[in-house]
Amino acid sequence: MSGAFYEFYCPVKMIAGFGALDHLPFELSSRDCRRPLVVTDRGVRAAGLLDIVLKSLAEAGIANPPVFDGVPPDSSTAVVAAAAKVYRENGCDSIIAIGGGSVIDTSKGMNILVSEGGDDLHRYAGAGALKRPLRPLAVIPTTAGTGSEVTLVAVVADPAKGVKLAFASPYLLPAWAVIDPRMTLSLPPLLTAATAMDALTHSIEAFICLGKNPVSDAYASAAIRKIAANLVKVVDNPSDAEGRFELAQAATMAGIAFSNSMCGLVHAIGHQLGAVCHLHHGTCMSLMLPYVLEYNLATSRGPIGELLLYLEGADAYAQTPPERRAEAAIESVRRLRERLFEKCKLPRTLKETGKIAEGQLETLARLALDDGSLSYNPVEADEKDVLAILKRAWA
Amino acid sequence: MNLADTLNRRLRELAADFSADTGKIRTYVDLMMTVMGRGLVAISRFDGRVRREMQGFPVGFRFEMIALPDGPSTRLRVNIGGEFEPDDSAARPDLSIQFKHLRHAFTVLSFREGTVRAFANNRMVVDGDIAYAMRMVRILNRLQSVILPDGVARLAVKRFEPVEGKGGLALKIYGDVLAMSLKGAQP
Repeated sequence: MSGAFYEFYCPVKMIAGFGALDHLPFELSSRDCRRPLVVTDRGVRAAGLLDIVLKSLAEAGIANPPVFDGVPPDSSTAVVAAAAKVYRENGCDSIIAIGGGSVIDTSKGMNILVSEGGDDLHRYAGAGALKRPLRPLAVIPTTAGTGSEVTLVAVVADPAKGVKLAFASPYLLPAWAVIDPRMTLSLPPLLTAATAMDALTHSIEAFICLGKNPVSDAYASAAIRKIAANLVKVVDNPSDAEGRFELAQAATMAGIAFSNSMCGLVHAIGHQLGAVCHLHHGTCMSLMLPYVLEYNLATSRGPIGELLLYLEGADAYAQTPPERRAEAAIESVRRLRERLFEKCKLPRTLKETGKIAEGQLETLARLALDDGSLSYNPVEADEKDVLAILKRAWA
Repeated sequence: MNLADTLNRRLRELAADFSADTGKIRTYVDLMMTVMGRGLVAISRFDGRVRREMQGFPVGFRFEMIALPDGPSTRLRVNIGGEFEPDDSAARPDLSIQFKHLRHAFTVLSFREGTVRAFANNRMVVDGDIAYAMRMVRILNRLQSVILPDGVARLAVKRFEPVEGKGGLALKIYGDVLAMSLKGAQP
């Protein structure tokens, strides 16, 4: 009976395709929004992506909207407050976030402040603190990985207090996720690979962890197919717009999957690698994924074996004996990592990153035990288990 | 059939019998919340492994486990000695584990579904710092592994680990729970 109960929720309207951006003014007007604040970072501006959006808005009569482009790679409560100030000073009524995870989390955080009033984000930290809808938020991802455009969480650091504030509420879900392949065309191969491995891990963990359900499985498996079929192709040819679009859709679908069924031990360890060693989140996911899959074979041989169908296709799946499919799926992930190393030097081992000392592994293992993602992993793991996994991933 | 299997079977029969009657479910959940609360107080005094986990909570830390919307519940506070004690204040807890419905609490507390599985199945929510919640889950797992027969504990925790010296430790905890009950202590 335990598998017979689940919840699934995703009210975000997806607008996807070449030129999807051009629909945004219509969508804004459908909610009577006339003055959006555009939130982004200087990298997005320098890459010319902001101009694409502003041009599209201007063509539809939203000329010169206010722009806040001061979002750093790791956002903070001060940045959120600064963005909220710009919103209020300009009499805005909606938000357009253009960027990756930090820009999107900043936009979600500032949406709390401009909707609820005040400048104290702490009041709204935790789960379920928000009790009413916020201002309409449109998200235009410029990476294909985080899936934040369809998740109900945000994380904002408070450096003064040395804490990271986590927010979880259905009201944090954006109104629109705009997936336009023009926005990811300029992503360099290494970042393309790392962010896609993030999306692959979201979908694989959604598919094998305890919160899996039939609806999230559908999104996860479709995302895995798209990533497996397109990632190497796009790394080889970064201007492959069709392939970029497939990866961008996959990232959003993976976001929908894991937002409903959550992630597992890869994320529990990866979050610590990011926090302690300042590694890119997608790189952390790629580093740990095969080792955690091996660890999870103890209880999850069935779903891991099924991954082979999505990673390698029907022929390979049919030609592999059922008792070998799980190992073959893990081998497929390893081969993908090898190819990404050859093509863009995405690290395969913790040692190859050059940012971790072997002596830090024990600290990382201890910290991983307090990460919420561990709850959803199908196999229990204690400090000794996590340390053993990290040692296997070392070199 | 050994004692654990018999107890397990009886508990399941009891669960099936109770499943249609909200009044009986409430009484059962109330009783189990009380036992769990007092069990946590006792294990925080006697078990070295739990005492090490308790060091991660600040003094005054408040914990609540509640079946929404209005109970039954159990509320605890960390005292200056680093142990749990009953908390009868109305202060907002630092960590609240909330079952979305009385029947979900019953499902978990009758060991038909493990705590972690229930969380993954969206039957409960956590309000508070996730790191504290993970620590609390480890303590709850340890309590269940100690006070429940092995066969029942296997259903309650994700990975059952045999507890060294379980008999003596369980006796101490049950003795303490009984003493608290005789004194009429909250929770």
